[in-house]
Amino acid sequence: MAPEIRCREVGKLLQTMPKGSGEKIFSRISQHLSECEPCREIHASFTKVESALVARKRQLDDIASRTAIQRAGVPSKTARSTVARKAWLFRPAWASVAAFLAMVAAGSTLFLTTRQPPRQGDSHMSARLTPERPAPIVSSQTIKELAEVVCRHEVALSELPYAPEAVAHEPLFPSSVQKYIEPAGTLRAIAESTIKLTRRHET
Amino acid sequence: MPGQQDTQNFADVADAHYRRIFRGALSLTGDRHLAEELVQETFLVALRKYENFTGAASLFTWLYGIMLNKYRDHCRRRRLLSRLGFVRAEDNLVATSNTGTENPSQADRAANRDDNHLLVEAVERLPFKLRTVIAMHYFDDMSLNEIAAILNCRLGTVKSRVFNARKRLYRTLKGKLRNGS
Repeated sequence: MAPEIRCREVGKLLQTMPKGSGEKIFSRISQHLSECEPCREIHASFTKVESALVARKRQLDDIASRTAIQRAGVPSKTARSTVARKAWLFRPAWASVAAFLAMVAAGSTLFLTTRQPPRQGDSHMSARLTPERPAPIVSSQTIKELAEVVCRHEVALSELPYAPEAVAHEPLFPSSVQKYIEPAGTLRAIAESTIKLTRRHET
Repeated sequence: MPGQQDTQNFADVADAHYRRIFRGALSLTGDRHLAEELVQETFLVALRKYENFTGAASLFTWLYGIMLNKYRDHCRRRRLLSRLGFVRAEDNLVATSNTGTENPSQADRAANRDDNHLLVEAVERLPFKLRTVIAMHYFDDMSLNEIAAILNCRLGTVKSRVFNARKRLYRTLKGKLRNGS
């Protein structure tokens, strides 16, 4: 009497079943299959997969027989004649060269369209190579105004970078506000720091 | 560059093996046009390298190996193009409409077409290594030893790949196939 086969062994046998040995294996497990419903289902599924594979093979055989007859002379023709190339753009080497050229063209266009014209008196190269000086934090108009304010509050003219025009000695703020702030000290400090900053930028 | 005599020899070799190599390409790709393209590329490479062929393996094994490499390149390119969005994901699956055959009854034909489509999809979704062994073993009727020679690996490896491929196919197709015959 044949030893009893368990479900796990049946599953393994079905999975490892080499092609064409279905009947042989079936005879080994038939008794177990007649008693075990889940194993029967697994076996049926495997059989279906096998059948589908065989059907697919038959289909491919049919196509191959039809096509091979039509194309029997192709290899010798291919061997003797030049090759029909694929569309050049789909060849990776050409595609990468094309992409590189496109990037160069785009970069050049961008550079030419966004470039600033060279300043007068500068040569073309110096205009390109000299980095642009950063814009001063405070404009000269503001410095002038500050200087005028400082002058109003008796700052020595020698401390200023230029001689301001004569300004009327009027208070900057209304008198009610003026008394709460310390104009001379604060404004002088602002003016001095601004002048220092401007000089640093200029140097 | 091969000489005139070599070219003539090669043309005879190519004619002798064309049918089987084409059959192999068709098994792998499932698409007639792609298979033709692969075979042509294979024979071109073979022509260029023909003088380097030492005869260590059989000529068919050598040609099949070249074709397999070409197919691998094609799959890589396809995957890259698909990632870049040039190819739709469903285009990667083989169109089964141009590979259909005539069946006697309409119901059977419909069932077979559905089953066939499901199977092709399931095979296409297998990893390259498993797909290759399934195609070679089942569709191309190669022995496990032949597959091992072509893939340049051990017999045990081929067996394990066939086992894994069948297991995956079973899991994918479980309860989906309608026609058992």
